[in-house]
Amino acid sequence: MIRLSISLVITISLIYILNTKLGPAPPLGKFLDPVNGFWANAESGPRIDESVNIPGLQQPVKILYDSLLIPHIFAENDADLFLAQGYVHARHRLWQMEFQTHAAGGRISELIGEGALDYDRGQRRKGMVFGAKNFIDNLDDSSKTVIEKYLLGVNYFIENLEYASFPFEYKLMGYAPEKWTLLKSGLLYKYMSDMLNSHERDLENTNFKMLYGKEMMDLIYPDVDSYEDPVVDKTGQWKFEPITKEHIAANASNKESITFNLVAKPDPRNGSNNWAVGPEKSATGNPILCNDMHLGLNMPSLWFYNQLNTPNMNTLGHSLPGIPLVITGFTDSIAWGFTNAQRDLVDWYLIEFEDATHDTYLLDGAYQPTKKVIEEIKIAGGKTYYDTVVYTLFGPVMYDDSFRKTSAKKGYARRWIDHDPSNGFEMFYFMNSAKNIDDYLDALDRYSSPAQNIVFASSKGNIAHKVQGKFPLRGFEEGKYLLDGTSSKNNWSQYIPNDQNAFWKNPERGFVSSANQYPADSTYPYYITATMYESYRNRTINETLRNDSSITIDDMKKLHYNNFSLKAKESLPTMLQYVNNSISTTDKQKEMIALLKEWDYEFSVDSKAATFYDQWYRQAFRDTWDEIRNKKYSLYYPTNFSFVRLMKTDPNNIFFDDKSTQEIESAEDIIARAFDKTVDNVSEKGLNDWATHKSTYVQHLSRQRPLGVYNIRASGAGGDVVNATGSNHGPSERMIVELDPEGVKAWGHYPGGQSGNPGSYYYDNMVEAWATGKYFDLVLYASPEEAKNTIFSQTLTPAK
Amino acid sequence: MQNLKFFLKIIFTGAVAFLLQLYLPWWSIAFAGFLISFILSSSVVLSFFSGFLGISIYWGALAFFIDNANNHILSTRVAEIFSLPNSAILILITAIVGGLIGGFGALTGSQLRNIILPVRKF
Repeated sequence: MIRLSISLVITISLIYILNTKLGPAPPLGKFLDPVNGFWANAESGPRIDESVNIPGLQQPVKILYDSLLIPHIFAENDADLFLAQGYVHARHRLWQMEFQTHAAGGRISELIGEGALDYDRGQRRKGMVFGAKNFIDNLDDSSKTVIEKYLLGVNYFIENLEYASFPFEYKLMGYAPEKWTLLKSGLLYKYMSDMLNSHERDLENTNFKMLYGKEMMDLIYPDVDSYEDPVVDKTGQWKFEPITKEHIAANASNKESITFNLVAKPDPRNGSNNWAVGPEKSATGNPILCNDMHLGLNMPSLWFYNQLNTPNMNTLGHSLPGIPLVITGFTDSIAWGFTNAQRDLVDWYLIEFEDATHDTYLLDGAYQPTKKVIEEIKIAGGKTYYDTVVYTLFGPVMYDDSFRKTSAKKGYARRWIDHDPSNGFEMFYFMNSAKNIDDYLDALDRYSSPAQNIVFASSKGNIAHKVQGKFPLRGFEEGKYLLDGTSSKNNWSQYIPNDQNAFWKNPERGFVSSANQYPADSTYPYYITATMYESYRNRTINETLRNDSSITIDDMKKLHYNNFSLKAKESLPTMLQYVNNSISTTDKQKEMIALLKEWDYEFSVDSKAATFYDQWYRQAFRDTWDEIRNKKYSLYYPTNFSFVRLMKTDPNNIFFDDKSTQEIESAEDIIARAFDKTVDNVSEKGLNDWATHKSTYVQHLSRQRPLGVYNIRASGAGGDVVNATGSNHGPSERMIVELDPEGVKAWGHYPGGQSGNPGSYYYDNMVEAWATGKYFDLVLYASPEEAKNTIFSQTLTPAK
Repeated sequence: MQNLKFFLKIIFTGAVAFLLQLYLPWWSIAFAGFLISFILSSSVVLSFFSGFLGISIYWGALAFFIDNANNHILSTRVAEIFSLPNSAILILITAIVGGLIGGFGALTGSQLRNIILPVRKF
């Protein structure tokens, strides 16, 4: 009896232990079970055709997967199409969809514990959930239909999951998917907007101006680095009557620096290239459109290719799992692509509370009540945290005495364009069925955020570019610094009319392009401000397109992989001159100078000069901006363009002085010293070729290293090089579309694969092609019968 | 005779586990060991090993075939996450974990049999 009890207890205890999540480890028995555990996620081919009955469907939907696992979805009507798209997205990318919405809505603590609380509070206080709610509560009719059907599809997939069919990451991290909601799709949309439209530096600018004065501010952070090669160049040809600003918002009369830590901003390198070549410059006479969007490199990939086909639309391109429709891509007659418009779409207002309760704040001479929202933040292995966020006329108070140390009676309210209701997915819905340039412009009129430079080409031979978004009308320097939050007049009230946003079509030069540079030439009648505009990639792209009168698809691929650094060309000669001026004697120093003098400014895979230049430049940059790096106040780094200009034209600027030494340094000293340091570093650690040094990687969203792809050998460099492949940042996709009237042709790849399952061959099968410049055919079929290379199919039928 | 019985018990345990897992969670494998060792008598030590081997062979073989069909894509990643040298060790651990549950299930079954059914000697 005793023996029986002992073995029974052991058995039950073992089961209990192996069925329980221990710290970060999953329940081991459950996880290892080859029938239902992680082994069930190990995919094997060949795949078997599937038939699924789905309630809510009106007609059968045919989904054909090609050899890249791109689903070509054929439906009889739009409602069925979006239901199917939701199902397909969930089937391949469910974990990522949910994880990204958790990240957007500040729910990471729920998964990983208290370590993420500050991040989560920041997300809530930024107004991510507030904006997402405003977004979904104000959808237009077409968006509503589309998203409701999409939700049905996602949720049908989720409801029919059992542990065995959970995506791998749920098993690994030991949790289960929730029901998909409208709010989740809204949050995902805001996730993108935040990535692209939250680069504002109002508080940092306020600090800088206070510390170094207005003159220095204008020198180091000018509104425009360069007017050369703007997105739209219609010098003297702007024919509309601009609207005038009725009231210029006043800056806050803040006499204190903002010394608290600001939450992390999106990567400043988030940007893109796009261009379109008109018929007269194209070798075949067909317009060609190209796009590559530079973002953080993650697994599973941000993008998911799909073809959507109904009698109303036929489109293929990049979709964002969690959101219906195609975001960038092509139809059977047009193509479109994005780069970020960079514009300042966030303003900050200093709020004066009546007292520490934050119940009222001063507005127009009287104390007005605030609105308080209690954010509930669940914490894995801890007690739920309740954060009270105060809302004002200007939006949520992000920083106050509860979140960062401000004085009890002050708060910093964040006004973000994405807090406002917008037209939802309407623009994408119209673009997905666009046939010509009028359809494109009509679609854009329905678009407010995130603001983008949207390139266009059609098989009728038109090309166009428009900077589209909802842009607050600004007076000179309005919104660049912390604003006064005691007057309602200071709030945004006027916006640039859509038809006055920078736009041109079929320009004489035969091409249009954008690379996050300044949107318009200097005669554009509106004041424009942003944290930074790019000033290198745009010039390289335009020079290449200008000089080629017979452009082929191969030329376009070459331009995507153009590794020439204009920044290096414009800075290295000066840097070398500064070194020559000082005394360089050692053999190693001479060797490095010789290496650099022979360099062609190409960030190619095996270039050692590129590695040396990059290390040297970074060292000089760091040493120059030591005041910013050792931040006692929140500040930010100037652009590379500004730094290079400064080293050439203002070498005695006070910023070149190294604060840690007695003497006063100039640019020459700093650059020569940085050179010595780099030579020492190279002598000690060796000089690797560029690809080894850069060591590109694509990181899993959970940061589990084994789920990512590391040590990728790729050319290019982040920031100023057209092939903007950095170490963990770069082209999140590349697309080339030839608008052939006989049938649109397209090619592309992205650093990942169609499947979100780390146990699938299709998880990372495009990474190699992405790194080395191989493109896959992206084929738009007119009907399921036409489809080729089908590896398996799914038939969705209406459930009875 | 005893060898054949031991061998059969291993096979039956695996087979019952397979059937149970069609409908029940992973820990139902304990019942497979329990049931077979309750029905078919043998020493407690042999019972434990028949349960252990029945499940570990079933789980191990299944994991092995899945892994080969998958070209080790997933197992390589999982092994790395748990700091294991390779996927073979992961298959071995899978087999041992299953085996332990099956073994202790069988041990319990055999001891229950010893209590409620008189021990017959051949």
